[in-house]
Amino acid sequence: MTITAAFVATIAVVIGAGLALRRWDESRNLRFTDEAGSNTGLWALARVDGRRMALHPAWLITVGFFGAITVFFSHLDDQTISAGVFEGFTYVAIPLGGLALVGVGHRLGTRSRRNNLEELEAATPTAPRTRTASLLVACLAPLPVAALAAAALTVAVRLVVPRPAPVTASALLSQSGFLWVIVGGGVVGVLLSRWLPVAAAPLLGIVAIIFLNNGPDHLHPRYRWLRPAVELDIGGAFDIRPERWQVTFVLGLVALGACLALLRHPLRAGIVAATVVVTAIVGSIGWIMTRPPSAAQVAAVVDRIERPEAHQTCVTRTGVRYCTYDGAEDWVDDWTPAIQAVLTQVPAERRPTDLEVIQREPVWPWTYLEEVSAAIDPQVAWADDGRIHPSLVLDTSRPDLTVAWQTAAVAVGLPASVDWQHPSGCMAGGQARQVLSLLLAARATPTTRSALRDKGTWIRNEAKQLTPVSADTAWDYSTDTPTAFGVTVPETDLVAADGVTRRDFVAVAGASGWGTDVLAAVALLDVDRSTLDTLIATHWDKLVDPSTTTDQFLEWAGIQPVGGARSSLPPDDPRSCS
Amino acid sequence: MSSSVQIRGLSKSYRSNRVLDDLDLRLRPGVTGLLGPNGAGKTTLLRILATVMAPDRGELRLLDRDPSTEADRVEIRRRLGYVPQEVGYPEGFTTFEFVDYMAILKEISDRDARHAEVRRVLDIVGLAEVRHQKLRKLSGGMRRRVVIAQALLGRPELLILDEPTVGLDPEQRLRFREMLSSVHADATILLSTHQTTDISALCQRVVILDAGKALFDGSPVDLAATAAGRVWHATERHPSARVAWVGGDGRVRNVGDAPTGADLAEPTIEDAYLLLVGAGATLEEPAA
Repeated sequence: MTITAAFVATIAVVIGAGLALRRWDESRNLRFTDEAGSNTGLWALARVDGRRMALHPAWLITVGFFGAITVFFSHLDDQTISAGVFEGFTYVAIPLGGLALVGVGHRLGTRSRRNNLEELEAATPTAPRTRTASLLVACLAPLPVAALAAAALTVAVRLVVPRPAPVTASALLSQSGFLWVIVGGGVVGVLLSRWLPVAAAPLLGIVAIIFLNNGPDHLHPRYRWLRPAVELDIGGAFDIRPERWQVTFVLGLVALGACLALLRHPLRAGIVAATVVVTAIVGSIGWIMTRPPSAAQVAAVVDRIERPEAHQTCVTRTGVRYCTYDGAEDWVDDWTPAIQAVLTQVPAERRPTDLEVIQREPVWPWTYLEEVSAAIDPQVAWADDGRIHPSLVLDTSRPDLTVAWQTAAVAVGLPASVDWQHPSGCMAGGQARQVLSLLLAARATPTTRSALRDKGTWIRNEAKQLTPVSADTAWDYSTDTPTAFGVTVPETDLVAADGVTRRDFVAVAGASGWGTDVLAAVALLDVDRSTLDTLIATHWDKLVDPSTTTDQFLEWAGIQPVGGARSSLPPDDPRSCS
Repeated sequence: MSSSVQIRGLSKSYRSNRVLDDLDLRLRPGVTGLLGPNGAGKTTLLRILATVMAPDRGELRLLDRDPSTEADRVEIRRRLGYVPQEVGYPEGFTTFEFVDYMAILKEISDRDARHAEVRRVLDIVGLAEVRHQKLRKLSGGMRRRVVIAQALLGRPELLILDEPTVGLDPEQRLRFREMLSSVHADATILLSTHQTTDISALCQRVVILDAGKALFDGSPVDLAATAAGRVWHATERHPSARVAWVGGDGRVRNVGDAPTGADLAEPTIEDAYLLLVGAGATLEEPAA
């Protein structure tokens, strides 16, 4: 709960410093502090300042620049945009735009003071409180701009990403929390302008917001919900806290900021009551979001993780059974051709039958609530079942990668995916079947071919030839997984087969090879396709034999060994793929 | 005719410095000029009359209302126009936007009516042509007229002008006089200025303030008359003159206790002001 203490301390510092500054200021300068006046001009003033806030260059440039950057890098690096079409926008451009609005709100709030207009304004019938309230209302004005930008980004992302997530009411609700961050930025600016009308205040405010959002507990599975801007995909589909609570919580924080700004003026019963109510609401929602989950909630989440099929939609296509969670049904359309492209390269009599593709929760244990982690039986959740397991966190720009690698692994007799018994996968380095699995997958689709070549380039550039290398195309299974479940894992499982290099992420497919195996597969990609088809068909049984080496494979293909390759581990080595 | 402004025993101090000292004053519709040296308490008096500052002591009624009560103070502000001595200009505002902003603060909420009123006052001060220009691009004199324009919003019954002609060139000052004449006849206007020519040209009444007290309260003619027999021409400065200077005709104009047989001159309110404020007082150089 250190984040709560940080919030309270921050507010106390602002109010305390504000009171001290006011005393100091009024003892040295003539200030026109009469609060008498009406609120007649509230909405007209809000329109004036709203227009200035919505069209302020600092806000527009920030949102426009980082929105464009998001689209640009999505296209350039083919990066994942998985959680929704607004993800990049809401995670980067909107929060930064909100921070810019802290400065904008502060400048608008200190306009009278900075421009020596206080005396002139004091002679009008409009109360200073009304000017504060109008500024707070004006903080809503950037929302339509953000909505327009989001709409434009939606179009842009849909042009870049082959299969973006659908724009559902739930997705909009989830993302709306970020939109309120925009309003919150302006409100914080106005709040600071009232308590700390000095030039450095917005900068300090921005630093404080960044600290509150990314400081204490920001990755804690439970307390992270107390942040103003939470990445919703950290907990993914298995978050127990509904996003709507967090949206309401952010709204409450915004309202609390507004109340604190109005409290700078002489106390009025209505504002005090509103502050008390809003504080109670924020506190209640904070408690609701961070209270321990019920046993039923935990059991429901655990069941979804341990028995995915019971919660999934299953279809059979071309002899392969596919099961997906809600919202992922369309992925089958992308997986089917990739899997079929791998299988058609396998001799018909050796082609695996009864292939099953079951979507499975990625093992990101730090995102689970402690109660969920304690209740999960990892032996069940990540069983060695020989099935293909694409995760929930899919690379939307390359949807065929995971299933292609895993299908190829199954075809050559390697484990499809990592499992609880082999949390870091097994080592098939130096074995021809490891090279063959990479080759089969790479030849399946243009995307997989490109991915393998990229991997080869990376190995050469980084001199990873003698390093265990997985077909990691998505960060599904972390080496931290076992320890997160309170299990002591033998060092041999956590340390790579060369005994030195620890892999940060293990294979999507259940086996790893040496870097030289990847280079061998890349070299084979350049061999004439029909020649290679013949070689695979005639030597299949030998190629999938664990005793056949990478160099032998290359020799049969008529190309030089990659050179310097390490031999495979002895069959009795516990790290070796059996 | 009832008084728009009634002041009795008004006092105001900044720490130990008494700026207004038991001041009595009544103002009726028409233009009243306020003269006085720096530090005389003019700006403090105007701030109190503009309701942006409260007196320490004394009775005050503005437009038949008591500004010490919140409701009356707000009502007074609805009927008040004010040009402070020093005022800034918000960055990024055009002339029209700034006056429109002030019109909102003056509770002219209806958009069409407000815009019409903004156009009216900009016409009066001759800034209609530059209404869409940013304030930062206007000259100092034009900015001063923008502030005057906002004071005219809503046809105020009480107009408080603290050195409104500072920064105006001679032509603009004449236009200012014309503009002030266009303000409806029932308005009470209090004009603080160092320009005695403005007083002569505009004011039916003049008040001279010094050290927080009213030294004179009457018509400009009466003010000038107080110097009758105390202004004379000579070939050189006379020892009894408080002030003396060489005029355009080459003769020395002496102001003070005239010697017997002196060549007396027609006194001006400037002469009278010099005599009233005292030997140690000097008139400020008029601002450019």
